Amino acid sequence: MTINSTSLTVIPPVAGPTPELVLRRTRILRLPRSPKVIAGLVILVLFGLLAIIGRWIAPYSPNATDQQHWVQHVLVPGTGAATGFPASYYPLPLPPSAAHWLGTTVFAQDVWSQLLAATQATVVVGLLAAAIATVLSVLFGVTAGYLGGGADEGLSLIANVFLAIPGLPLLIVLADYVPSAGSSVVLVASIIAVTTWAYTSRTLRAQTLSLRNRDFVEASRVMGEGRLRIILVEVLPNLVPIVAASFLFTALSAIGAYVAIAFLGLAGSPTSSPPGLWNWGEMLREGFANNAVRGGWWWWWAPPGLCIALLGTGLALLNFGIDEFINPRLRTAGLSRKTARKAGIGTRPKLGMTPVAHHPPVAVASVRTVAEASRLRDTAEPVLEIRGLSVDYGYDEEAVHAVVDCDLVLRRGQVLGLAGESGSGKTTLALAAIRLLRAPALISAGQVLFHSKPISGDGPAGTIDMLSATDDQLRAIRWSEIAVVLQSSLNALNPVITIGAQFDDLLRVHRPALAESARWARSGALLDMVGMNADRLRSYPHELSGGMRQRAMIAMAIALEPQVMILDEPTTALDVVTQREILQELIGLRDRIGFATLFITHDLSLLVELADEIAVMYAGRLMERAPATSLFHAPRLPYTYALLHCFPPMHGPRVPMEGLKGSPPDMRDLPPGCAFHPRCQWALPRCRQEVPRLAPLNGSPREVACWLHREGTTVPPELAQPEPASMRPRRPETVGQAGGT
Amino acid sequence: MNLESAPTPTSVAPVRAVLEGRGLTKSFWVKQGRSLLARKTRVHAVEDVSVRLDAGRVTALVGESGAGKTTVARLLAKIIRADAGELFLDGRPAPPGRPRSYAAQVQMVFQDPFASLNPVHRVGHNLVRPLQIHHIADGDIDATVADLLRRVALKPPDTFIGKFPHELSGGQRQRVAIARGLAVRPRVLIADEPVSMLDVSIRLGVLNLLADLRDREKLAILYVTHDIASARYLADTIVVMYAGQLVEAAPSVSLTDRPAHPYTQLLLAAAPDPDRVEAPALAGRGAPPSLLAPPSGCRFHPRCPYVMEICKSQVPPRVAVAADHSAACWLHVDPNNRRITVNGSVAPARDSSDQRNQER
Amino acid sequence: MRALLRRLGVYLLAAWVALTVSFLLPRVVPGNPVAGAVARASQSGNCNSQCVEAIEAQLGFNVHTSLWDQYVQYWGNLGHGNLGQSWSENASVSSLIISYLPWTLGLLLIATAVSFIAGTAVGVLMAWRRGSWLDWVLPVATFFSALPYFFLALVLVLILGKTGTMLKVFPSLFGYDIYGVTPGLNGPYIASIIGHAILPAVTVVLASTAGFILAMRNNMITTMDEDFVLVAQAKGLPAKWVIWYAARNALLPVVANFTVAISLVVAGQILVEIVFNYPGIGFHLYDALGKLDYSLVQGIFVVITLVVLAANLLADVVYVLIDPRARQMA
Repeated sequence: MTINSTSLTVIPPVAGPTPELVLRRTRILRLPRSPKVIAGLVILVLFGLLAIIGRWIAPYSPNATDQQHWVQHVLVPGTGAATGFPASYYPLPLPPSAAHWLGTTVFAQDVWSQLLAATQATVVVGLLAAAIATVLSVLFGVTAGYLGGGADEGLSLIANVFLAIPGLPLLIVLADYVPSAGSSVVLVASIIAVTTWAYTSRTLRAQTLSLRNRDFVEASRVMGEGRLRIILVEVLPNLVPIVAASFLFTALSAIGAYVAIAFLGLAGSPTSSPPGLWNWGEMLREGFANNAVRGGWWWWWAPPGLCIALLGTGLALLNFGIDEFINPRLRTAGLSRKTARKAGIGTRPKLGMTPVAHHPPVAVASVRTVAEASRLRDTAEPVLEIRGLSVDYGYDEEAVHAVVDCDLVLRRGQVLGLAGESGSGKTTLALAAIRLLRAPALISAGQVLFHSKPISGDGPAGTIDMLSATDDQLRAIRWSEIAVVLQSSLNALNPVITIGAQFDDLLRVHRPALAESARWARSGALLDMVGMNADRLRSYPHELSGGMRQRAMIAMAIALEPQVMILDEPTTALDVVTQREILQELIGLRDRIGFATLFITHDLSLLVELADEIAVMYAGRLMERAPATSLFHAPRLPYTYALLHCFPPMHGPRVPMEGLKGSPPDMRDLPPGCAFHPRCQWALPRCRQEVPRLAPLNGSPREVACWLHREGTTVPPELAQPEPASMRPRRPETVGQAGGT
Repeated sequence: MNLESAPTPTSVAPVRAVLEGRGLTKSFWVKQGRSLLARKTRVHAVEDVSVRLDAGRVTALVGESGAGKTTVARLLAKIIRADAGELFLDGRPAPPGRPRSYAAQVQMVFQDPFASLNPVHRVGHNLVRPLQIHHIADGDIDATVADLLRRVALKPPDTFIGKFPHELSGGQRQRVAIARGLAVRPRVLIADEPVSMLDVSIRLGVLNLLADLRDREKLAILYVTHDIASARYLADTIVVMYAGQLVEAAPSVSLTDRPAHPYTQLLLAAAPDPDRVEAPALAGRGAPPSLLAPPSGCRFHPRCPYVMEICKSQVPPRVAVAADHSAACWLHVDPNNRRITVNGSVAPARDSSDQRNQER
Repeated sequence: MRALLRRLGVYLLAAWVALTVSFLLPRVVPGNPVAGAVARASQSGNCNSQCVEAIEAQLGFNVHTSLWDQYVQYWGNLGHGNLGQSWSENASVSSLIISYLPWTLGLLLIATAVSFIAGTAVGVLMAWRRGSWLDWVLPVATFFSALPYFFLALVLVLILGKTGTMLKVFPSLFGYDIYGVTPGLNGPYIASIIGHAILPAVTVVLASTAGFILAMRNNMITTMDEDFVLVAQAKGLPAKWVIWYAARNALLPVVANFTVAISLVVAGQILVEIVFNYPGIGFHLYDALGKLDYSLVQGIFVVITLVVLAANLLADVVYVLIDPRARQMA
């Protein structure tokens, strides 16, 4: 009996909309149907059944001695008539036979009957103790968590004190001084419960505390709901998985504790007065006390021991299921070799390197033509080319196709905006390009070519096929040539080491020639570049504000002067003023270093200001691509048009705006044809059946995936506005500088 | 800063404040450390804030995170109790505590529709409970629930009643949350960032729903947001908060077109605006101050590009800069009167157009 | 420092509660505990008049002072390290415990260190290589985590112990060869101690490692989903560094929950000592219970409680050292 898995897994409170978690919460508690859970349930049911019917199927009374089969004495070898020593005898337990399925004890009692009687007592005591402890812990934990303040302090102190006192020694003392305990199921169970409730109480308190401040509880309060009803109807049902896990954990500990004190002879012997109960610990005690191990009478002591282990395993397996229900991250299975083979992944799956299916290496010689064939008018040199990229989540038929057949070219010095709603696949597309997606992601088709010309350092130069690159190649490219800034900078920085150490590891790996003092100086200079004091190197992430953390992240991103910067909603979590400051700093750094930027955001209005070119994604596909000004003033795609009309203007008269009807698509169940057609005001019959492909619009440097722009259809006037006459000047010197470095 | 004393323009039909907070002040005690003996420090979350909500009008409360706008919303909803200041419901002092009669008048919609609906209860439960608590629609609860869902454009209602929150999209959830607020037939709806967690494409739908409720049901709505563009779109009046204090209040178009307070100007300059040609110049970089030890005088003075000596020591009075447009800023106080420190004294408005020109 | 002081306060309170319970119980339990104890003792046939007197003194029977005075005296004795007199060993309880303690602490420290290090390492490995053959460790570890320590001890004795019936490889009785060597600083004695510690240590390690494996695996899987691990990979850091980053964070909850773990290990080891007749405090607790030597029982209970509380405090200090966020609070 040791620490159970649930006990040590800190359950992260659900913060914000975690679609994955919310999706699964169909009912209060639905166990995943895994072999583990089924095995656990079978074991539990089996023991439950034995506990109930054991009394009737037992062939003998557990205390009855079998006079008929009892071989009273066995001659000790080396004694007796022939040896010259007086004959010496000892009683011999019988091995399993038809009369005694599990043999007999040294007292000629039937082990199977004892085992059945013991099963009943052990299971009943375990469950009863767990029930009492759970009630106690719910009372203490939920009350403390919900009331907070002084009540919380007091109740938590009690729980903490009980938690600190070692359980078994206390139990021993308690059981020893309450001699009649062994004969009463309720008394034994109560004593055990007193020593085991505290842990689960602490867990429940923490959970209640986080639930108490959840908006739905607050909403009930605003509604005028009574306190008791809030606890019982709003809070408690959400705790059911944790209460269930606590119950199983406590049952496991209670059985362990009961067996342990019985083994010590403190739970009353069935032969003493008042008689104790037959239980697995008592059976083991008798066996141990009567040399069952040394005598080799395994049938006597092995069954109760195995029963404990088996029942414990069953409880633990079930707890696993609850753990996986509470924390779905535990459920995503790793990619086994078998699955990998089935999915067509050649190489051995490695952590941090998204696997690629069926990928023939790209002949680098053909690369030039690819770049030249690009239909975009802009002639700047491409640095990152994504062609026909598809990404799945999952390896089988049920896989979600998160990104389908996407083409994207990022050019030197350019800011390419990638816009779309949450779940449209924009982050997936960008991270797939550097193969940073985690399991169960699989790059199922396409090519990613990185045309590397290192700005500084000795990173790899030339064209690299990212999807067939080796681990070492990828590692050399990552950050040094392609850096990433994620949305949530609090989680993006390692919480237990300083900012300085997180610069240092980077420089140590990619610039091994730098001495430690030089690394430190460089890190300080980088912080200075983003307007932070170099002293901040000594700070831990939690000591910085959100804006500061994001600045530190950006400073880290430019540390190695990358050619490509992937910014995934870098400012979404920040206030507008901070957002603007950081964006301006980024543009300044871009001008200085000349990296190309892939800017991912849902905020199209921001992109229009910031980007040279914008690509719009919907339901995993690229739907429109155009220079930023063209896209803003003359959108061609109905979705882009509607999205642009979701941002109220800052000037002019206020007019009612419509926005977009309907809901974002469910990636698991996409409509046939164009995924946008259910929300499209101009949908044609064809849109319901055929998926439109991204295709160039005649005479313009832009592409759109929409049937409205194919021959034979009249384009609605809203989608046929003239191209803006003059393109906004976009710092031409930057492009030149970047290209030339 | 008494906004209610600002002259009411004659062009607007006379309206009566349904809910009014005067001089609301709230500070929280935050423990430094976790020990029993830990020192507690005071966070001045909201100081002397007055807002009025009128029937059939939307008032927007705009500010950055930590400006205290959510605290004001929660004070008005009586989720938390003010340290100082008073609440008036229909001109009469609001009852003490949080009686159900108050809940029946003032309801709240929360920011995160994923968190504000209990995941274990169906949509129906969320709408039936308020009806039961407040004894509304005795006998015909089903019809009332269906009607509520129709009012928030969740049609047909039958398909939504039995659903769990996770089966709905974000926009649908927020509509259910609004329907729950409407169930008790309140006259005031306090919406705390109701669209900031939603996808851009569905935000307008929820905003339009709020506008609809204002126009058709004459609800008084407080729209708390950090997005000044959406405030301009939806609200009749915008109130700007900075570091726990009110800095400016005006009809929404006049506030966004002619901001008078340097902070409001900064906020507008920073907001995304696709029509902008040049990159905006940010006057007043930096972050809001820590509310553990807020700056003396005007709380914006450490960042203010026009900071004067007086700003550092004296809290600026609320000044009318135009009809129905007030700002708490020394710049708008006649230099001869700048020594006047009596809170709320109205000094003649200085024309602030040269000020703004400088800014553009 | 504040958080640590607070924890210390909790532990002091816990110690006070435990000691008060052990003082009060025999005095307030209904019925006549002395009579019951004597009855049981005479039933087992090993309680003489000296024993009865000792029980009476220990349980405060026939002592004509108030409960409060007894309580004050009890604390006074504890304060002087005086835990009473053991009638069965005819020695002071404190001196006895001092002679038992090295056996227990030695075994406990070595076994816990090994199982903690091995368990977390295997847990990290399992999370890292999910989908490989290592997944099979999971059900096996689950089974071992459910196995009672003393049952595992019995199985090991049977298979490997010299007192067992199968391989007879390792000594499985007593702390050293009490017939063959003389205690002292001599080679044979030390070799004998090490030999005799192998099976008990293996038992504790086998039984407790599983728990650390499961806990660490789950934490590690959760941590590896965090953004900072993704960033570490995006930074192009070698896999080993990435794993170390994740492991350091995943370790925090394991250390925070050391309280529960150490209690369980101590409880398990008490039983293991009994099976092996290992001369630590666990075995002597069992022995004293059988001999109704209540002074010794109580003394051992006090010492075990203090040892566990000290281990908890140590875990708290370690936690503060490895988590900068806790350091700030502390």
